[in-house]
Amino acid sequence: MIRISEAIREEGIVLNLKAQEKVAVIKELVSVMVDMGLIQDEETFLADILKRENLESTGIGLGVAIPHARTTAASELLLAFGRSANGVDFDSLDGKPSHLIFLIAAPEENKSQYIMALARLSKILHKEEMRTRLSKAATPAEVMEILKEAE
Amino acid sequence: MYRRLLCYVDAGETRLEELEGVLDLASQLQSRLIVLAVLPEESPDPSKEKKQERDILEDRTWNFLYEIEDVAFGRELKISLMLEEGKPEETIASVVKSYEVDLCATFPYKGLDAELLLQKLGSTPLLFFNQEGR
Repeated sequence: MIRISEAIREEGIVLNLKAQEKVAVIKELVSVMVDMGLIQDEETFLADILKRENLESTGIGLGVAIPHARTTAASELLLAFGRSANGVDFDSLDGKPSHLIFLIAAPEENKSQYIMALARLSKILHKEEMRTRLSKAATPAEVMEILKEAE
Repeated sequence: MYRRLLCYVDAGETRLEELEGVLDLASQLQSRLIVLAVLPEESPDPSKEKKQERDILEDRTWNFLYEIEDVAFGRELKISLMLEEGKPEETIASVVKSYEVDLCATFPYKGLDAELLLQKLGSTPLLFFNQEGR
Protein backbone atom coordinates (compact mmCIF):
# COMPACT_ATOMS: atom_id res chain seq x y z
CA MET A 1 0.00 0.00 0.00
CA ILE A 2 1.33 3.41 -1.02
CA ARG A 3 1.63 5.97 1.75
CA ILE A 4 1.85 9.61 0.76
CA SER A 5 3.43 10.47 4.09
CA GLU A 6 6.29 8.05 3.34
CA ALA A 7 6.98 9.51 -0.09
CA ILE A 8 7.42 13.08 1.15
CA ARG A 9 10.06 14.52 3.48
CA GLU A 10 10.08 17.70 5.51
CA GLU A 11 12.76 19.18 3.22
CA GLY A 12 10.34 18.69 0.33
CA ILE A 13 7.76 21.01 1.87
CA VAL A 14 7.77 24.73 1.00
CA LEU A 15 5.24 26.65 3.04
CA ASN A 16 5.74 29.95 1.25
CA LEU A 17 6.37 29.50 -2.44
CA LYS A 18 8.25 32.41 -3.94
CA ALA A 19 7.07 31.82 -7.50
CA GLN A 20 3.65 33.13 -8.50
CA GLU A 21 3.12 31.61 -11.91
CA LYS A 22 2.50 27.96 -12.85
CA VAL A 23 5.74 27.07 -14.65
CA ALA A 24 7.83 29.01 -12.12
CA VAL A 25 6.10 27.19 -9.24
CA ILE A 26 6.76 23.82 -10.86
CA LYS A 27 10.42 24.79 -11.36
CA GLU A 28 10.67 25.83 -7.72
CA LEU A 29 9.33 22.47 -6.53
CA VAL A 30 11.49 20.54 -9.01
CA SER A 31 14.52 22.42 -7.64
CA VAL A 32 13.59 21.31 -4.14
CA MET A 33 13.64 17.68 -5.26
CA VAL A 34 16.95 18.20 -7.07
CA ASP A 35 18.50 19.89 -4.02
CA MET A 36 17.45 16.92 -1.92
CA GLY A 37 19.33 14.67 -4.33
CA LEU A 38 16.15 12.86 -5.36
CA ILE A 39 16.22 13.79 -9.04
CA GLN A 40 19.37 13.39 -11.07
CA ASP A 41 18.17 14.67 -14.43
CA GLU A 42 16.37 17.96 -13.75
CA GLU A 43 15.90 18.81 -17.42
CA THR A 44 14.16 15.52 -18.27
CA PHE A 45 11.95 15.70 -15.21
CA LEU A 46 10.89 19.27 -15.90
CA ALA A 47 10.17 18.44 -19.54
CA ASP A 48 8.02 15.44 -18.52
CA ILE A 49 6.04 17.50 -16.01
CA LEU A 50 5.52 20.39 -18.44
CA LYS A 51 4.48 18.08 -21.28
CA ARG A 52 1.51 16.93 -19.23
CA GLU A 53 0.88 20.41 -17.93
CA ASN A 54 0.66 21.75 -21.48
CA LEU A 55 -1.92 19.15 -22.38
CA GLU A 56 -4.17 19.06 -19.38
CA SER A 57 -5.10 20.87 -16.25
CA THR A 58 -3.59 19.33 -13.13
CA GLY A 59 -5.50 21.90 -11.11
CA ILE A 60 -8.21 19.66 -9.67
CA GLY A 61 -10.20 22.58 -8.32
CA LEU A 62 -10.89 23.48 -4.68
CA GLY A 63 -7.59 25.40 -4.62
CA VAL A 64 -5.51 22.31 -5.28
CA ALA A 65 -3.11 21.33 -8.08
CA ILE A 66 -1.22 18.08 -8.51
CA PRO A 67 1.32 18.40 -11.32
CA HIS A 68 2.64 14.90 -11.99
CA ALA A 69 4.61 12.69 -14.33
CA ARG A 70 6.01 9.25 -14.78
CA THR A 71 9.59 9.89 -15.68
CA THR A 72 12.94 8.21 -16.19
CA ALA A 73 14.36 10.92 -13.92
CA ALA A 74 12.79 9.31 -10.83
CA SER A 75 13.86 5.99 -9.37
CA GLU A 76 11.14 5.91 -6.73
CA LEU A 77 7.85 7.62 -5.90
CA LEU A 78 8.62 11.23 -4.89
CA LEU A 79 6.51 14.10 -3.62
CA ALA A 80 7.06 17.75 -2.90
CA PHE A 81 4.51 20.16 -1.49
CA GLY A 82 4.30 23.90 -1.96
CA ARG A 83 1.85 26.40 -0.53
CA SER A 84 1.06 29.71 -2.15
CA ALA A 85 -0.70 32.45 -0.20
CA ASN A 86 -1.79 34.33 -3.31
CA GLY A 87 -2.64 31.23 -5.31
CA VAL A 88 -1.42 30.18 -8.73
CA ASP A 89 -3.40 29.79 -11.93
CA PHE A 90 -3.26 26.09 -12.85
CA ASP A 91 -6.09 26.40 -15.37
CA SER A 92 -8.47 24.60 -13.01
CA LEU A 93 -11.95 23.93 -14.35
CA ASP A 94 -13.48 25.90 -11.50
CA GLY A 95 -11.30 28.88 -12.43
CA LYS A 96 -9.97 29.22 -8.90
CA PRO A 97 -6.26 29.69 -8.15
CA SER A 98 -4.39 26.81 -6.56
CA HIS A 99 -2.96 27.37 -3.08
CA LEU A 100 -1.93 23.80 -2.28
CA ILE A 101 0.39 22.29 -4.87
CA PHE A 102 1.73 18.75 -4.72
CA LEU A 103 4.34 17.67 -7.25
CA ILE A 104 4.49 13.93 -7.90
CA ALA A 105 7.18 11.99 -9.72
CA ALA A 106 7.18 8.26 -10.25
CA PRO A 107 9.38 5.86 -12.19
CA GLU A 108 8.30 5.37 -15.79
CA GLU A 109 7.68 1.65 -15.32
CA ASN A 110 5.68 1.87 -12.11
CA LYS A 111 2.26 2.85 -13.37
CA SER A 112 0.16 1.23 -10.66
CA GLN A 113 2.10 2.87 -7.82
CA TYR A 114 1.83 6.21 -9.59
CA ILE A 115 -1.93 5.93 -10.10
CA MET A 116 -2.47 4.81 -6.52
CA ALA A 117 -0.47 7.77 -5.21
CA LEU A 118 -2.45 10.23 -7.32
CA ALA A 119 -5.72 8.64 -6.25
CA ARG A 120 -4.79 8.60 -2.59
CA LEU A 121 -3.63 12.21 -2.58
CA SER A 122 -6.74 13.37 -4.47
CA LYS A 123 -8.92 11.58 -1.96
CA ILE A 124 -7.16 13.29 0.95
CA LEU A 125 -7.31 16.74 -0.67
CA HIS A 126 -10.96 16.36 -1.60
CA LYS A 127 -11.80 16.68 2.09
CA GLU A 128 -12.31 20.28 3.13
CA GLU A 129 -10.98 19.62 6.61
CA MET A 130 -7.66 18.39 5.20
CA ARG A 131 -7.30 21.39 2.89
CA THR A 132 -7.99 23.76 5.77
CA ARG A 133 -5.46 22.05 8.01
CA LEU A 134 -2.79 22.04 5.30
CA SER A 135 -3.47 25.71 4.63
CA LYS A 136 -2.93 26.55 8.28
CA ALA A 137 0.00 24.25 9.07
CA ALA A 138 2.81 26.30 10.62
CA THR A 139 5.71 23.93 9.95
CA PRO A 140 6.70 21.17 7.53
CA ALA A 141 6.55 18.75 10.46
CA GLU A 142 2.92 19.69 10.98
CA VAL A 143 2.18 19.04 7.29
CA MET A 144 3.75 15.59 7.66
CA GLU A 145 1.62 14.92 10.72
CA ILE A 146 -1.57 15.93 8.90
CA LEU A 147 -0.76 13.63 5.98
CA LYS A 148 0.02 10.73 8.32
CA GLU A 149 -3.26 11.23 10.16
CA ALA A 150 -5.18 11.40 6.90
CA GLU A 151 -3.87 7.98 5.94
CA MET B 1 -18.16 23.29 -31.98
CA TYR B 2 -17.90 20.85 -29.10
CA ARG B 3 -15.23 22.45 -26.99
CA ARG B 4 -16.07 20.53 -23.83
CA LEU B 5 -17.23 16.94 -23.75
CA LEU B 6 -18.38 15.57 -20.42
CA CYS B 7 -18.29 11.83 -19.81
CA TYR B 8 -20.04 10.50 -16.74
CA VAL B 9 -18.56 7.24 -15.48
CA ASP B 10 -19.47 4.78 -12.77
CA ALA B 11 -16.24 3.16 -11.62
CA GLY B 12 -18.10 0.07 -10.46
CA GLU B 13 -19.77 -0.57 -13.80
CA THR B 14 -17.25 0.54 -16.42
CA ARG B 15 -14.10 -1.09 -17.71
CA LEU B 16 -11.35 1.11 -19.12
CA GLU B 17 -11.68 -0.51 -22.57
CA GLU B 18 -15.30 0.59 -22.78
CA LEU B 19 -14.16 4.20 -22.84
CA GLU B 20 -12.33 3.84 -26.16
CA GLY B 21 -15.29 5.26 -28.08
CA VAL B 22 -15.50 8.31 -25.85
CA LEU B 23 -11.75 8.92 -26.11
CA ASP B 24 -11.95 8.55 -29.91
CA LEU B 25 -14.79 11.04 -30.00
CA ALA B 26 -12.96 13.59 -27.85
CA SER B 27 -9.93 13.16 -30.10
CA GLN B 28 -11.93 13.61 -33.31
CA LEU B 29 -13.76 16.65 -31.97
CA GLN B 30 -10.57 18.02 -30.38
CA SER B 31 -12.64 18.59 -27.26
CA ARG B 32 -11.48 18.97 -23.70
CA LEU B 33 -12.73 15.80 -22.03
CA ILE B 34 -14.15 16.19 -18.54
CA VAL B 35 -14.52 12.82 -16.85
CA LEU B 36 -16.99 12.97 -14.01
CA ALA B 37 -17.73 10.38 -11.34
CA VAL B 38 -20.43 10.91 -8.74
CA LEU B 39 -20.54 9.26 -5.35
CA PRO B 40 -23.67 9.08 -3.21
CA GLU B 41 -23.76 11.62 -0.42
CA GLU B 42 -22.12 10.36 2.74
CA SER B 43 -24.43 9.79 5.67
CA PRO B 44 -23.76 12.31 8.47
CA ASP B 45 -22.94 9.69 11.08
CA PRO B 46 -21.68 6.56 9.31
CA SER B 47 -20.88 3.31 11.09
CA LYS B 48 -17.33 1.98 10.99
CA GLU B 49 -18.31 -0.52 8.27
CA LYS B 50 -20.02 2.17 6.17
CA LYS B 51 -16.98 4.41 6.54
CA GLN B 52 -14.71 1.61 5.33
CA GLU B 53 -17.02 0.90 2.40
CA ARG B 54 -16.97 4.56 1.51
CA ASP B 55 -13.17 4.69 1.72
CA ILE B 56 -12.87 1.75 -0.65
CA LEU B 57 -15.38 3.29 -3.07
CA GLU B 58 -13.52 6.62 -3.08
CA ASP B 59 -10.16 4.89 -3.59
CA ARG B 60 -11.54 2.78 -6.44
CA THR B 61 -13.16 5.77 -8.12
CA TRP B 62 -10.08 8.02 -7.96
CA ASN B 63 -7.95 5.12 -9.20
CA PHE B 64 -10.28 4.63 -12.14
CA LEU B 65 -10.27 8.35 -12.96
CA TYR B 66 -6.47 8.46 -13.01
CA GLU B 67 -6.35 5.27 -15.12
CA ILE B 68 -8.49 7.12 -17.66
CA GLU B 69 -6.26 10.18 -17.40
CA ASP B 70 -3.16 8.09 -18.07
CA VAL B 71 -4.69 6.59 -21.23
CA ALA B 72 -5.91 10.02 -22.36
CA PHE B 73 -2.44 11.49 -21.82
CA GLY B 74 -0.96 8.75 -24.01
CA ARG B 75 -3.36 9.87 -26.73
CA GLU B 76 -2.53 13.54 -26.18
CA LEU B 77 -6.07 14.39 -25.16
CA LYS B 78 -6.96 17.37 -23.03
CA ILE B 79 -8.60 15.97 -19.93
CA SER B 80 -9.90 17.08 -16.53
CA LEU B 81 -11.10 14.81 -13.75
CA MET B 82 -13.96 15.50 -11.37
CA LEU B 83 -15.36 13.61 -8.43
CA GLU B 84 -18.56 14.95 -6.94
CA GLU B 85 -21.18 13.84 -4.47
CA GLY B 86 -24.92 13.73 -4.97
CA LYS B 87 -27.47 12.27 -7.36
CA PRO B 88 -25.90 11.56 -10.76
CA GLU B 89 -28.57 13.22 -12.92
CA GLU B 90 -28.57 16.46 -10.93
CA THR B 91 -24.80 16.54 -10.59
CA ILE B 92 -24.19 15.92 -14.30
CA ALA B 93 -26.63 18.69 -15.21
CA SER B 94 -25.04 21.06 -12.72
CA VAL B 95 -21.52 20.39 -14.06
CA VAL B 96 -22.76 20.79 -17.65
CA LYS B 97 -24.17 24.18 -16.76
CA SER B 98 -21.31 25.40 -14.57
CA TYR B 99 -18.54 24.42 -16.95
CA GLU B 100 -20.26 25.23 -20.24
CA VAL B 101 -20.21 21.65 -21.50
CA ASP B 102 -21.30 21.28 -25.13
CA LEU B 103 -21.81 17.54 -25.32
CA CYS B 104 -22.48 14.84 -22.77
CA ALA B 105 -21.69 11.12 -23.00
CA THR B 106 -22.32 8.19 -20.72
CA PHE B 107 -23.30 4.52 -20.52
CA PRO B 108 -26.58 2.83 -19.63
CA TYR B 109 -25.79 2.44 -15.95
CA LYS B 110 -28.22 0.78 -13.58
CA GLY B 111 -28.18 3.75 -11.22
CA LEU B 112 -28.78 6.36 -13.91
CA ASP B 113 -32.26 7.52 -14.92
CA ALA B 114 -31.76 8.36 -18.60
CA GLU B 115 -35.09 10.11 -19.01
CA LEU B 116 -34.51 12.29 -15.99
CA LEU B 117 -31.01 13.10 -17.19
CA LEU B 118 -32.30 14.13 -20.63
CA GLN B 119 -34.85 16.41 -18.96
CA LYS B 120 -32.23 17.99 -16.74
CA LEU B 121 -29.77 18.50 -19.58
CA GLY B 122 -32.23 20.53 -21.62
CA SER B 123 -30.69 21.38 -24.97
CA THR B 124 -27.27 19.80 -24.31
CA PRO B 125 -26.95 16.69 -26.49
CA LEU B 126 -26.46 13.35 -24.75
CA LEU B 127 -24.76 10.30 -26.27
CA PHE B 128 -25.20 6.83 -24.83
CA PHE B 129 -22.38 4.41 -25.49
CA ASN B 130 -22.92 0.65 -25.24
CA GLN B 131 -20.66 -1.77 -23.39
CA GLU B 132 -18.53 -2.20 -26.53
CA GLY B 133 -17.79 1.50 -26.36
CA ARG B 134 -19.80 2.34 -29.49
